[in-house]
Amino acid sequence: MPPRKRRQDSDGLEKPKPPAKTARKKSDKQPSKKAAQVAPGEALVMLGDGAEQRLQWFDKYQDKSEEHPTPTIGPEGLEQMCSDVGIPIDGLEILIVAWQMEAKRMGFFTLEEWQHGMGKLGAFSKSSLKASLLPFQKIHESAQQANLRDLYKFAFDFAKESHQRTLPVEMGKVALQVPIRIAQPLMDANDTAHAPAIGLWKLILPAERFPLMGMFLDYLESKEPVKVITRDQWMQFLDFIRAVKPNLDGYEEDGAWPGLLDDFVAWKRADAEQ
Amino acid sequence: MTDANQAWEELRPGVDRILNKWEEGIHPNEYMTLYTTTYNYCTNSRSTSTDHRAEQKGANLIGGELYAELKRHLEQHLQSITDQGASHMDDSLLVFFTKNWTKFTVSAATLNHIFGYLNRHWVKREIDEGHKTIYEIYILALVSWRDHLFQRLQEKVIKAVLKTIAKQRNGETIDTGLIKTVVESYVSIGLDENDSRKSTLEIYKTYFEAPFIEATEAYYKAESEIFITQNPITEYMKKAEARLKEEEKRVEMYLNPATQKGLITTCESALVKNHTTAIQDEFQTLLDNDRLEDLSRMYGLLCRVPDGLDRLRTIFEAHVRKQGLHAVEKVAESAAAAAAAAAAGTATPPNERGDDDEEDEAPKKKPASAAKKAAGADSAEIDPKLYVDSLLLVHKKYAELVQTAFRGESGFVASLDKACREFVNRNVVCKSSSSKSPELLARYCDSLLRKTSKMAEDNEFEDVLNSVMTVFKYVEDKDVFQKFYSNYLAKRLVNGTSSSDDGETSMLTKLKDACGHEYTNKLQRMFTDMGVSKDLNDSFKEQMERTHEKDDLIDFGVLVLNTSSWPFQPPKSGLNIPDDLLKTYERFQRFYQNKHSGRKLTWLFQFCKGELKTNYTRASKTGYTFQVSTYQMAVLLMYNSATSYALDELLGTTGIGKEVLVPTVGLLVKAKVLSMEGGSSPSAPGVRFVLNEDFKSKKVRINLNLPIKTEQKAESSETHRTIEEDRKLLIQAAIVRVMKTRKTLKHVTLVSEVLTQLQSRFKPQVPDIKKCIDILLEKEYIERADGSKDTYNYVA
Repeated sequence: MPPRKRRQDSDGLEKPKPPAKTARKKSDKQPSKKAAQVAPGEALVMLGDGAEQRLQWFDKYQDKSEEHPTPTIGPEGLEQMCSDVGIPIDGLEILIVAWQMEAKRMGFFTLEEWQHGMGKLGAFSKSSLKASLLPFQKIHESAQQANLRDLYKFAFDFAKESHQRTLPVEMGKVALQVPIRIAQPLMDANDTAHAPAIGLWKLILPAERFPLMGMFLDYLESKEPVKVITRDQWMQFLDFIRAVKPNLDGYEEDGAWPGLLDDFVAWKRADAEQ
Repeated sequence: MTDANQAWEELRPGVDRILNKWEEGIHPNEYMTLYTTTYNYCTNSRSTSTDHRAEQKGANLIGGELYAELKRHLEQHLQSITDQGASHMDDSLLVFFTKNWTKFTVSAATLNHIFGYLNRHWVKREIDEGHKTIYEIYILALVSWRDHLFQRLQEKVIKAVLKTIAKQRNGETIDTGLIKTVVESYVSIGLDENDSRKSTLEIYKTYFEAPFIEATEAYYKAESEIFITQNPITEYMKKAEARLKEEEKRVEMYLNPATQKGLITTCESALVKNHTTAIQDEFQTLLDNDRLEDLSRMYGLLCRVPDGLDRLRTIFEAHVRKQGLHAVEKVAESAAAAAAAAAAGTATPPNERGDDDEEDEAPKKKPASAAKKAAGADSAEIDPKLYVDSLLLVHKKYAELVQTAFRGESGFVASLDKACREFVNRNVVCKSSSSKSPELLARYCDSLLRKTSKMAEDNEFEDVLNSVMTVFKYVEDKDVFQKFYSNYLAKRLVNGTSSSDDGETSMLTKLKDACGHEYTNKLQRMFTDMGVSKDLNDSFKEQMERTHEKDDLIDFGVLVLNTSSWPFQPPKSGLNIPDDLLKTYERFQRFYQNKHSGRKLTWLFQFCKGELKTNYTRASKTGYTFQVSTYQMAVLLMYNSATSYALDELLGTTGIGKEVLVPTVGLLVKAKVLSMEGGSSPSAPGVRFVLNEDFKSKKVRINLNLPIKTEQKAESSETHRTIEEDRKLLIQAAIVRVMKTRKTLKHVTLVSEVLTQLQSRFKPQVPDIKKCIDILLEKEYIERADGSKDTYNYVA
């Protein structure tokens, strides 16, 4: 695989495309000195527990500018990595990687997180990462899976602004089209990144697999009952989707569901009657 | 011949005479002879046996043979009576039976005495040694009767008895003494197997009561089934009631009291229980027609059978609710009709509501829309008195019914309460807003406690207040009542329109009794502030008179009210205090700050008022006195320097906001104090407000300070808004309180405990409680327990 370099800044933000192609073109035009550092890493596959390889692999994407107190991969490096590995920047895979790393901040991986997460995944290169993600492909096959709950819980904290307690439902119409971009997140005025609840939901609990999810998103988008999702509402929704069937069997009126879910059921039932 | 035979031969003629010719009596001498013979027989025989121990062993030796002879004789005697009785039937059998019984028992008693010595010694020892078939002579006689006469005749006797009773039930006269004696005989021969000296009711129960009750059941079953198909239910109930009374009397007359329960239960079952549904079906009709007596009778019957009243309670509850709703509908309709009439301009609006509620402004402006509005009953103004009275009327009527016809039975009281709660809180008037009832009730209270109230008599007044409390008891949204009541009370106090302190205190005490100290706390403090203000005014006046010339002072009074207790908001509009008032304003400000430094005074000019004296009017030389609001005063005082202003000039100088100034000036124009020139709308360009120097009035004092309609509307909706917010806080506080004591709680339990805690204030909706739970989860006062989706933990 030919060595690659960082893409130009704004490109990814303006035109999200299948990253691999664009990246290849650009890298052809602008070879960089960083590429040379990576090449040896590929050859060290068999050595040690992989920490060394991971360090070198990390180095390939690291943001060398002075703004980070600890070694960190920034948004551009992340996007490059995604494209190298061949996963979308706004997909479930990269969220899983962030989850395994227990990443604190959207769009940034510190070296510590990198070593921790990649170590857990047993990944030290793009190909081994891709392979290590395979088992997770079925994570949302069933809502009952324990690690889905972990991922789901992580996603809430990861996606919200650190000083906020809640997650916005959506961020304008632009954000709706691109549900969530962990690698190239939308930055707000404070330069902190967050993702809307709707985007996260679509990613983790796709409506094709969870019909209730689709109905609930319809409800949120058409009725706009709330502007933000609280942690309780977020966590309870997973339980809700586990306990209640798409025809709403299993829902109890005097249960302890958050009011938002009660309202949703009432809306759905009124809808069904008409 | 043995001793026994010899003794018996001596005794026999006497015994026979006692048995057969008892009515002749027995001569004491003969009695003595007989007794002595027995005595001699027993003692002589015993004297042959000297050994004391042998005496104890040979228990059978003395008296046994005599006893056997007597027993045999009694049997023979009774056999012969029985044979005679075989030819008798029905009445004559009863006569025969009772006659012989009486005779026989008397004889038996006599024999008992004659054989007294035998009883005391031989019989006693036999019994002591456990011989169950040896009895005292009297008992022996009864046993013989039972075994030889009774066993053979009882079937015929009971038949005859039942026939006689049936005759009596059919209305014939019978000799009740006969049955009474028969019953007595049955009771007498009921002997306890274990202790012959005691009696049981076994014989009576088996041979008399059982067939009697069976016959009774058959009789009433047949009778009631025929009667109920041929007569209306009301008649049937009369019949059943009479029958039940009759049977109770029957027990008293000639039956054993033990039969009462079984008999009455049987009658109740045959007469009432079997026809429960048919009787219950009549209930609605009786209610509809207010048939008090029949209702009372129905209650009396159905309360006798288990669950007989359940259906009545349900029907009653629905009925009362319907009546209540209907009464309210009527009020709403008449209000709508009045509003429609007013809107159509064909009639002047009803003026009975008092000055505050006059409504002639709106219809004149927009007759079309007002008429449309009036079509919906809920938008029409409801007269609070009419409304409360109509609620009370329904309650009173049915409360009386419960007390009289249903004897105040607690189930019916509960049904009444439930029904009243329903129609008080959920009727056509409350459709738009569930808090309409408490609002109207509070308004009614205001009208009672205001000076205009015509209530003169103290007793009557107390009664009316008590009836208000009756409705209050049913109001669920007590917090709404509290809010409105406090608003109206505040106005009464500030405007000095309260009719009497006693009335206010009485009402306050009642509310406190009903809802506790916390409920009336703020109201109480309002009264305190009034008292404090009075002292404050006095000392201010005193100081001013000391430090200032009399000409420099204007008559000034102020109320200083605690912000937290009074339902007042700071004025929305600004005001440049007119120069004439400014001095006094500043003096008081200084005076108060000296007294209480650090306290903030907010002047509520929207509630202030004053008097102005005119000296410009051509029509009256002495001038008029205008009672005006501060805003009106600010406007009118401007006319001391010129006689015509444009709206903008008025706005600029007074500093009053346009939305307040326009209606304020509007009132002055309407009263013809000012005249509008150059246009018909106050805010049209070029319009000027000119002082009307030709103002004329019959009165010397004219009140220009009339309430502005829009302000009232805004006030009401403002009140409702604050209620919603207060409730949210109350619910949250209740949740935290419950969780703090219980630490861990299931969702359903939490909700129900919160409902219980708050029910004295208002009835929260479950979704509202859930929203508050959501909020508290978010604020981390509580959390969801791990692994259980419907349990919460308190987070300390």
